[in-house]
Amino acid sequence: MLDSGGQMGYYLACKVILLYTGGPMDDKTLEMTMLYDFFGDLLTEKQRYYFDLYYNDDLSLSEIAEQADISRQGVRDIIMRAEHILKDYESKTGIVSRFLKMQSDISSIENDLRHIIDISNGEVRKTAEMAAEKVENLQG
Amino acid sequence: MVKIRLRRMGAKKNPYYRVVVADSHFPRDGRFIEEIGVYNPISDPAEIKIDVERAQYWIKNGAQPTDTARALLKKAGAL
Repeated sequence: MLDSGGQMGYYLACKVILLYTGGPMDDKTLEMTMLYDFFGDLLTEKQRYYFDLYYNDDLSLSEIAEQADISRQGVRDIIMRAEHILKDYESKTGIVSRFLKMQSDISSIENDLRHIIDISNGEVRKTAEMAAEKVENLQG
Repeated sequence: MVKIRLRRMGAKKNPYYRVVVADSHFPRDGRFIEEIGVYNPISDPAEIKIDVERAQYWIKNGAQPTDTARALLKKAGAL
């Protein structure tokens, strides 16, 4: 998060601020990041350490190898094994895909409620507002 | 060597990244030389903010972007 006023000021001062549809981060990185957030605690400490450096700190295999003083292939093996384990948990539980589906359904419900609030009044509107508030809490 | 890389911020299950210029010799202790942008892959549309001028400055001075950072900089027109 942008944490200080100074930082915000700097972004406003940026010459070019761009908004894009479809990020450049490849699907695998995002998928792995989500899997790690859900199942990372089930990996060994060593697996977590390398996985974290690779996916969350954006280090290359060779940079990690150099830091940890093991071979690049060794780093790669550990990370691939961790990926395999995480994918296995997901295929057995489906937790991440269910989470993503819920997130998307929740935000669509919220949009619907906003629409109802816009076009209604009285008791209906009040109920919709209360529901919208609950839905918002679900997303937090 | 100076690198341009992504550093993950944000809560669990809600990834969010800073694009930072950092020395490749201290990638782990959180230090970086300069933050040149942010990237939110989860928002729809994905949000990319890059200070193009600073990015170009660092690249001209030999900073090496990682593959992911390179893709971001390309999208933002810094490359």
